Amino acid sequence: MFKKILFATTASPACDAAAKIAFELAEKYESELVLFHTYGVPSHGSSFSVTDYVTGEEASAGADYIDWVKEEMKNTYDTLIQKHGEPTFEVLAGIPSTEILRYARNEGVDCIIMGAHTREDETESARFRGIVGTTMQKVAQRARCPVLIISRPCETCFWYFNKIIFGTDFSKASLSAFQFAFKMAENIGCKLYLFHAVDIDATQAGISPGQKSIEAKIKIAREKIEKEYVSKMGDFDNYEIAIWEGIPYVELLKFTRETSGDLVVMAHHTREVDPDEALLGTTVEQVVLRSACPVASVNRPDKL
Amino acid sequence: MEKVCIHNDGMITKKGKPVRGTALKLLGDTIKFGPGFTLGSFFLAMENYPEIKETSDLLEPILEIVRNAPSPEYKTDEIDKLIFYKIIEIKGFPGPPALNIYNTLKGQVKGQVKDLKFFHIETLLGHQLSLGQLKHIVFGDREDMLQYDTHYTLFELVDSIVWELSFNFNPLECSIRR
Repeated sequence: MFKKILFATTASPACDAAAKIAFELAEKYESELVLFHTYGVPSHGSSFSVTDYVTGEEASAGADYIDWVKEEMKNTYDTLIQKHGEPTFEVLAGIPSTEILRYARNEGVDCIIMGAHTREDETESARFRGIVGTTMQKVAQRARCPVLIISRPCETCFWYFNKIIFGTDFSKASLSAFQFAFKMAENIGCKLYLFHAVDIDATQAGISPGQKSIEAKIKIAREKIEKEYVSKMGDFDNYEIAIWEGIPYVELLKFTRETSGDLVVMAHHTREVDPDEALLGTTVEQVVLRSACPVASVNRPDKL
Repeated sequence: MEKVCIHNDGMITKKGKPVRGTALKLLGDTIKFGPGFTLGSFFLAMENYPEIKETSDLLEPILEIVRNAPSPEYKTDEIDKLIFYKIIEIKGFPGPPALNIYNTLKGQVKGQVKDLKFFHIETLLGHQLSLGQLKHIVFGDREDMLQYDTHYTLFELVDSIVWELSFNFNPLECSIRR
């Protein structure tokens, strides 16, 4: 399923939940796991000094410093390494999102795993500002492979994984997300929910939609799901179509709770725009912030 | 600023008289809680004054969870009470300087604050809810924290409780605390 998994980590407690899933997933799919860490921003010119992200101090970025960072990472993940085996360590200087994307592209990574936030002490106020980590946003927006975002610890996910929820808005990018969700469900042999929320937020239109028009929209959505997705699933029959009406991210969260979903799969953004130009869709961002289970954000079909 | 009292049966009173009809005009009023006020009482108030639901997309889905809860009196053993308070947080390096002001709802156990995101809403309803002091955190250092008396408006209470509990859509099977 995944030959190479990149786990982008700050090696801080903020990434612990994601680390557990990264190690388990790599063991389950016999994938090569790369623990990837960027440690600072290089200074101008040909100097070897960097500004450490953690301490904020200037440090000499020689071979000794890199070895020290690798050793620190090994110590941080010692328990997981003992349990699941030794991964490959990659430590680079640079801007995290740029380096993660560059490495993933050059090394043919099949899946990037990361936490929703990169700093533990930012989580609380970041939640109140309603945003997710900027590194995560940039990576999820541009990566060519699926990005699995884990913001909370999850005991049941992946290892005992049996319900995948694919949330669609019928955009082009949603088709890539569907391919990933379907491939995963088929591979694992678990149930796939094809979910769509008819957006009835009438604040912009100025009028509330009537029952009749909602029912008509639900009917159209069901036909679209059958035409665009079900028709591509061949003999696979362990699926269910669900169409709810309301505010998309709220309905998706409610549906995930009701079905006890293990993984939510969505496209990065909701509009038909160039993926490089698109901001992370509000629905994805709101779901990532609140979802109890991991959210896979898929934008392109390149690595499916 | 006018003050309103929210009672444990969800009734809001102003100057000692029960408020009938819309509560929208009370959103800017400061609040206090009556004796025995719980998180369940807060949701009873939301049911008593349904127009407040229009202030948030997430309030109705949370009320659905509360309506289906096995008991409005249920309490988890892991926390003693709930506390609602305001935080002013000044941040500096690393990252650009920033000042954030927000309200939060937390659990309290033996005087220590406990995050609620891994609890099910159903298990918090019977816990006493009180208004706490404003906490001023200087440069992210929680050791260097100042506390002040302050007031809260009805809007702050509704908006922030809904925001905080919107992270608690965990499936009932998933009961991870750590």
